[in-house]
Amino acid sequence: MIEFRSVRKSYGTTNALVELTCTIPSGATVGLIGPNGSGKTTALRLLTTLIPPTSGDILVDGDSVCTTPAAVRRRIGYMPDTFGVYEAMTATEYLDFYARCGNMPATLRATTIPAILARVGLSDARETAVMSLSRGMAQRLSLGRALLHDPAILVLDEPASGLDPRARIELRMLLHALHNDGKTILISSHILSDLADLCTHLLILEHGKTIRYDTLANLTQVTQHQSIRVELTTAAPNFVAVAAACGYHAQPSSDDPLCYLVHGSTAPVDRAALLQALVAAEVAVFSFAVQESALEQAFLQMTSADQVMKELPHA
Amino acid sequence: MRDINAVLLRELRGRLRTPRSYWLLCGALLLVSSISLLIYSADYASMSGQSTFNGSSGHTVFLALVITALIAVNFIAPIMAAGSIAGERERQTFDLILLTELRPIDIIIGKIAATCAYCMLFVTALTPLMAITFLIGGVDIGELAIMYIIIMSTALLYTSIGVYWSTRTQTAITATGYALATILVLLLILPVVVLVTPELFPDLFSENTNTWMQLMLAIHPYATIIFTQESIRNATIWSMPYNLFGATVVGPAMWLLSVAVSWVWSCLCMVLSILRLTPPTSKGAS
Repeated sequence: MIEFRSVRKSYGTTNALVELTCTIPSGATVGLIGPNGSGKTTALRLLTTLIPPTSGDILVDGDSVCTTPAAVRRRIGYMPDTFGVYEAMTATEYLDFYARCGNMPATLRATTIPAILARVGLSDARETAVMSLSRGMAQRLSLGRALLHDPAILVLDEPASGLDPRARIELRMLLHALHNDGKTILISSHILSDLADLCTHLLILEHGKTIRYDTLANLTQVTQHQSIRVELTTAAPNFVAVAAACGYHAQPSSDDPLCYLVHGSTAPVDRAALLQALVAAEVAVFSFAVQESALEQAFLQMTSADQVMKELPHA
Repeated sequence: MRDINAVLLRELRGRLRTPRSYWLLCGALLLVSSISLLIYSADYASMSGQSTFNGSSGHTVFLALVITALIAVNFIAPIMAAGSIAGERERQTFDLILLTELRPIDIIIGKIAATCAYCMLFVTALTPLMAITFLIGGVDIGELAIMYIIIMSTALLYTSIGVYWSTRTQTAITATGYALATILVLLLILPVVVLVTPELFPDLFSENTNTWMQLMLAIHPYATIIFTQESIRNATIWSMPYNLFGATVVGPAMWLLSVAVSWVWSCLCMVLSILRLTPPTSKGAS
C-alpha cells in the first residue's frame, strides 16, 4: 500500500505539488493524468526517493521515503520517460549491469536476466546492441530493467510516449500481465485511452493540485449519462429543439457542423426515446453513440478545458 | 567472491569498445614516440665527436618520455573523468544508477578507478619505449618505478578533480572546462606564486626559500620530477634535508611528499564528490 500524506514539493516559490493525499491499495493500477506541469513526474520522483518532499511523507508498505528511502527503493521499479543508453552494450549486458548494481549474485543473474528478457519479449534481441533497438523494444528493455529485482511496485513515467500503435499495444499487454501478477503500478500518461484500458484508479492533477482521486469506475460513471455523439447526413435546424423535448441538451460539435454532442441520460430507454423522436422529426441520423472515451470526458470536465486541448494531442 | 565494481566494469567496457579509445591511445603513443625520436635525433646530432650514445643520452630520452607521458596524462585524466557523472546526467542514466543498491562511494570509486585504469593502460603501453632507454643506459629500475608512481599519482589527482567537477555540473563539456582550468591553475599559476612569494616577503623566506618552494610545489608533478632528479643524482631516493626556520631536518624525498600530497587532495576530492551524490536530507516527515 502506498500512502501519500499531505505531500508538498516546492522549488523556491513555485509549488510543483500541493498537499497530495491519497492511499493506493496493493495491486492497483493508478493512472496519473494532468496537463504538462501538473505535478505528475514530481509525484513519481518523490515516490522513487529521487527528490525529497518539502513537507509531508510517502509511506510504501510502512517505509517512509524520508526516513528509510533505501527500503522504499527496494520495493520500487522505476521506468523514466526517457531511455538512457550506454554505448556499446547489448540488451543482456544492459540488464547485467543493473543487476550487478543491485548486488544480484552471479548465479541469480544467470537465470534472472534470460527470464526477464523472455518476459518482455526480447529473447531474440538479447545480443542486440541497446543503441540499435527500436523505441518500443527499448521501452520494453527499460521495463525489464525495472523488473530485475522483482519489485512489488512499478512506477512508469510516460511509458507509451513516442511509441507506434503496435508497440503501444504490446506494452499495454505487458502491463496487463504485470497487473494480473499482483504488481502495484503507477503510470503517468497523456494517452487517456491507454489509461482507461489499464487503470483501476485515476489521480487527476492540475497545477500541482489534486483535482480528483478515485476508481476508474466511479470517475467514468460521472460522465456516463451525459454525452452522446450524433452525426447527421444533412443539416437539421430542429435538432436542438427535438433533443430538448426529450430532456437532452444538445450542442453542435466545434469541428463538424453535422455532428452534435448531446448531454443527458444514456440509459437505453432514454436513448431509444431520443432516437425515435429524432427519426420522427425527420432528422437524418447517420450515427448515434455514447462517447467512446468516458475518461476523456471526465478529464475535460475536471480540468481547464483550454489547457487540456493544448496538452492532449491524442485525445 | 565479491563482484568487481559494476560501474568500473561498465566504464572500462564502454570505453574500450569504442574506436575513440583506440584512437586516443594511438595518438598519445604516437606523440610520445615522436617526441622521444626528436630528442634522440637531436642528442645524436649534438654528439659531433662521439660515435655512440652514452648514459646521459639514455637519461635525456627517458626524461623526455616521462615528461611527455605526464603531459598526456594531464589531458587524458581530467577530460575522461569530467564526463563520468555529467555524462550520466546527459545520457539520462544518472537517476537509474542512484536508484540501485550502489552507494555514492561505489559510484565515485568506480568512475575514478576506470579513468586511472585507462591512464595505467597508456603508461604501460609506453614500456617498450622506456625499454630503449635501458638499452642505451643511464636509467635504473628504481628511477623508472618512481617516475611511474609520480605519473599514476598525478593521474589519480587529476581524475579526482575531473570527477569532482563532473558531480557539480550538468554537462561534460562544462565539467571538462572547470577541470582543465583547475589543473591549469595548479600547473601554471602555482609556480608563479611560489616564485613571487619569497620576493614579496623576503624576511619570512630568507633562510627557507628552497624548502618552502619544495613543499609548495609538491603538488606540481613537473617540479617533483625535476627535484627528484636532483635527489637521484645525490643518491638520496627516500629522504632529503629540509631547512626549516634555521634548522636542518631530514624528511621524506620530494617525490614521496608529492605522492602523499596527491593522495590527500585526491581523497578530499573523492569525499566532496561522494557528498555531492548523497541524496539531500528530506525536509518532509516532520
